[in-house]
Amino acid sequence: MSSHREAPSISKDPVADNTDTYAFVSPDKPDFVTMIMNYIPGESPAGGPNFYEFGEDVLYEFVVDNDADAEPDVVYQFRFKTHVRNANTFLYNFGQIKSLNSPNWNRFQTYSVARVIGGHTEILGSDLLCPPVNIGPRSTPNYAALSAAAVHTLSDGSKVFAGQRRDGFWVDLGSIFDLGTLRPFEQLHLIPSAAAAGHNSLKNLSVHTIAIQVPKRRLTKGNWNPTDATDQRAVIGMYARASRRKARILSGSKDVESGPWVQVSRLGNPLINEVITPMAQKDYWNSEHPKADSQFVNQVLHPELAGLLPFLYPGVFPHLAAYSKPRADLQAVLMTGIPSGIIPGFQNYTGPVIADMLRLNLAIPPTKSKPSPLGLLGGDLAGFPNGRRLTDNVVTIEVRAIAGVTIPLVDPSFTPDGAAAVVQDGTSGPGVGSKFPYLLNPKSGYEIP
Amino acid sequence: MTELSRRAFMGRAAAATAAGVAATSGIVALPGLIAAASPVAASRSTQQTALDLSPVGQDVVVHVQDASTGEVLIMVGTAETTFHDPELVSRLLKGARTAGQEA
Repeated sequence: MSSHREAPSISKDPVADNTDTYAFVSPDKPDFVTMIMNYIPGESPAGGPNFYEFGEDVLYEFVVDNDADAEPDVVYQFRFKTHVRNANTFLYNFGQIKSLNSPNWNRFQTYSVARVIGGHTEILGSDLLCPPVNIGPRSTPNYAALSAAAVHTLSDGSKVFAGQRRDGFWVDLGSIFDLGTLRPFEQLHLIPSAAAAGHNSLKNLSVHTIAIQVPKRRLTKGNWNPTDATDQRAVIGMYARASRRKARILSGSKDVESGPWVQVSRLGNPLINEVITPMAQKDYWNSEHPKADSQFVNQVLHPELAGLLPFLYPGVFPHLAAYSKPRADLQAVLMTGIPSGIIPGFQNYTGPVIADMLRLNLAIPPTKSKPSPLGLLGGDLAGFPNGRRLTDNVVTIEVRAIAGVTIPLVDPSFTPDGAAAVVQDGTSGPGVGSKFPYLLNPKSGYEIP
Repeated sequence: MTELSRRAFMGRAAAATAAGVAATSGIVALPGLIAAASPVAASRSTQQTALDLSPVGQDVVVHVQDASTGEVLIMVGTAETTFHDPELVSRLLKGARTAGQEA
């Protein structure tokens, strides 16, 4: 979760396994959009001697659709290269790493950023340095400084960062995947247990983050800066994807790679491939492009979890149990965006094309004071499913949506169960920083052995 | 697939194929590929064509997608294209059988 190891094949390929994707209007720079994609699920801070790094053989991309057809219109591409100063040692560092060009740092990565639009590729930056991982007070004594130095400004004024971050996602995996144990209903479960506090299974773990902060006008069709939230052109769809070359031949010291890039992971809305897509389709889903998502729409209209909740919690979700209509609310929230006229002052509709993308209305300003972790459900128009912020509690939002709280958006005759408004996993996140890339510094391996 | 015309691809592939196929089976595939691209050329004896074994500068990987129809996928760089070349596939299979017997 939200997409950590969410499908059988990608769970065996961590450097290409997208854990979370975010897109939000930057709270401290409202004319910019921040897009974040995280990889390598569950990095233990103590990752030596071969610390975590990006895949040189992976193409990482942000894909933006700005004309409502779920096709790529603006794509940001990231490629990584690994450098070793001294190949005759097993050490990651020979001494303290006090700067990004420290000669004590043996194995480091650089990357390039390209923007692809209309078949034209523009190189925005190259040989950009990643920060080292956070090793400990001896090796990386001022990690905050290293991290800050790894925020680069690109040729078009965008900012970029690629490197290790503390995982900003939170969830009680142990509870949820123990037959759907949710709070505060443990005692009402088919197999009851005592109430217990939630435990964030990802606490103190890290991911590898690729983040870019882009002027809004670089993402819209016609290069404009939307200010009218009712204008459908103000909405972009976006997702992240990772691709590998079609052929790879293991060949001793230098493997052979050839052929076109083949998508092996994609992520728009959180938790879709995790808990909506059935096991047999998860890998296939990862290989498909959002524009083809109509083939998966039935599992959104009839989500398995909506049937499980009343079964696992007898008598707790009676209205949900009796609801047999296709879940048009979930289709709107996840696959098309929410049209105008449903939520006052809000729309993020991208037309009838069924596609799993984050949909962000660029004209809605960021909520600077106390954004609601429940996003739109909490009355905060700047939050999920209007894009996704780092502070949005997407587990609770989506569980409540599946439990029925969003059905009245499309079917006013339905009254949600009282339980649907309070069900949650019972955890909270690590918090966020005030500046790009917003995700917190990773914990060091010495600190979290 | 990366933008690449079939004609241009053929030119590159012809120069490149030897290395990749040789790595796979030890069989030179150039004449067969040219034959597949041109019905007229297909009728010519492959022995009459000079072999161009100059490297293309990138690794080449050939995959027999459907032996029964002689369908071959050739990949070079980020490009790929499919040929139908039963003659080439026949020779590749012959090499494969030999390799299988030696394994």
